[in-house]
Amino acid sequence: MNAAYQFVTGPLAWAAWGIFLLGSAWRLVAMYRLARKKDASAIAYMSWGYSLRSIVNWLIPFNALGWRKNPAMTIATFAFHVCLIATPVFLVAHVMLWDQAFGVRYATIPDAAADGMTMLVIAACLFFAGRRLAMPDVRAITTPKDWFALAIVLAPFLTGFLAYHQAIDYDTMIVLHVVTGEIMLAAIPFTRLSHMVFAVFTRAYMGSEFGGVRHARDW
Amino acid sequence: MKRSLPILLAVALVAALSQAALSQENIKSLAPEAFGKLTRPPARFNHDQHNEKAGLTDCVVCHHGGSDGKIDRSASTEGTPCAECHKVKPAGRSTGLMNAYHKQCIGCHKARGKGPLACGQCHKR
Amino acid sequence: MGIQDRLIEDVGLRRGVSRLTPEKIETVVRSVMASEAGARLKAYSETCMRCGMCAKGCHFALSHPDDPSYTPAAKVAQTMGVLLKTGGRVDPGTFYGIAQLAYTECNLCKRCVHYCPIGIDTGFIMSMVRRICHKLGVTPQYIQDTAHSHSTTFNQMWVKDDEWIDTLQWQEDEARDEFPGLRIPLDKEGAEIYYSVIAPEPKFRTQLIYQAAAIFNAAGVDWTMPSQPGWDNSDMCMFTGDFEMMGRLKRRHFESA
Repeated sequence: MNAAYQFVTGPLAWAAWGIFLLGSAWRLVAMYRLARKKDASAIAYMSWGYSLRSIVNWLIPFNALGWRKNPAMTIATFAFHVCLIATPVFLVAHVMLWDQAFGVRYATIPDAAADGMTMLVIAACLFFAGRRLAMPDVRAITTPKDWFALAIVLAPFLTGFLAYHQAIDYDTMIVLHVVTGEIMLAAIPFTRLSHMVFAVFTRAYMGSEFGGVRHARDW
Repeated sequence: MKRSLPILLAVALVAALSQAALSQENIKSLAPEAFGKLTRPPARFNHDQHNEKAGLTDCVVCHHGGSDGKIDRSASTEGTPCAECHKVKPAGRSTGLMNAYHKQCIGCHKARGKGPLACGQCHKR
Repeated sequence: MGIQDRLIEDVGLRRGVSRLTPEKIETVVRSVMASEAGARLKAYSETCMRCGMCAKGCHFALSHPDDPSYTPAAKVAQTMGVLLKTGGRVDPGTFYGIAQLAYTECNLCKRCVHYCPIGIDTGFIMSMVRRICHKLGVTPQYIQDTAHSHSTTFNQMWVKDDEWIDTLQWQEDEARDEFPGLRIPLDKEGAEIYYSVIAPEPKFRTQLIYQAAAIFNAAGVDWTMPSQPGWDNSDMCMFTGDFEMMGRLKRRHFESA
């Protein structure tokens, strides 16, 4: 147990963070180079004002047309993304680890709130899965890659929830939790989860094209 | 129930006292008052059993002295509560109370390859 | 349900496809991927989470509520998705469906952009599919005819150079009966407004030019119309995927202005 835990929280953690950070940076640089070479006409229209205008308007729930026409999805996806990022970042136990390892400490959220937010993430994942199965529109376009992305994100939250409540076998669960979390981090640059890295730019481009060329909104 | 409550309390008190008398602070919860309200269940720690298992005879290994974040193992400090030196909110380079526990326990467990490392292994529900 | 279940006969598509082999298709797909396809296509194809929210933004999808194969994401999957997954090695029969979908089931309106949280541009992806179709010579007959007209006459309706000027003068004549002082100024240097039309106006709806002239006349503005080819501001080549001709048309139109 000790050797396994030390391995997953030591070398494996460095590897996962390394792949996530360096991988994302590399993908961004490579994509930017490709855009410079092949999408010069698109880059020419990029504008800070129109980009931020579009991004901000899409970050407001029920503001964009897409949000208004898909209310259930809007609630689920906003709750999901906020909790997905806020819970692990501000979790007491995680901040403790930063503090122990690097002496870094910052604000935390109470465990009870984190517990609720974790349940929200799990519930949202189930909602997404339900849509993929029940809605013909969504089922028709769902591929194994989409299930894979969903599973990668669900796993650390499910195991984290079980580990926190010390359900089933804690020792196994905590190692599983760490490993699944690391898989998620490492998967971000190279799977569908890469929308975390690229979405801000695809949205920014559409904002710039609609603002600068068509003089129209894109939300 | 009303009548049995004082009796139960008395039994519990006697049991607790005799336990303390038999072995010095044998089962201990590491929950100093300085923490106030606890976030996690306190780490339970059987002092004598732990030391026997770990082969610790020298108190100073854990009950160390020191200042400014530097451990001094020349003078033993058993009997002094940890919270006396390690403040919950540490000033300067000194180690905070929570890190004092976490780092001392986990650090040693890591070095020896034995003993709990993950949160829930000490903070059992 | 899918494009293969609703194929329609089109002479242009059929003739184009009859000349294809999987190898030819693969060669062109690979060359377009290597030369023209860039970061946008890559980012779009990689990050689409298949949430299906775009379904509510597409009039093709809305008018086929029981057929999920009309949603923007499904249409991408059936066209560019297939080409990317196979590296372009598809049989001509499959390609017929890809072309039919790209030309007839998405009119590049980009309305779905208002429904996609991450701003995936289905219209752009479909333009890339059409580009590949054009390079393979697989385009619907009617739109290709207008594109040919563009390449020959620089307008989409085979309007000849002298017919255009005749038409303008005819409309000016007619309008002067109603508004005696009316003029349709041609090639007037330094005019404030350059007015251009699409070729169906002189061809089928000539009175629209009359009416525009009446408005300019009443407004008393300084305006002009071009007399030379380049007067048509439409561009069917952009829609067929003939980007070379699209460039020539745009240049001609801007030079005319």
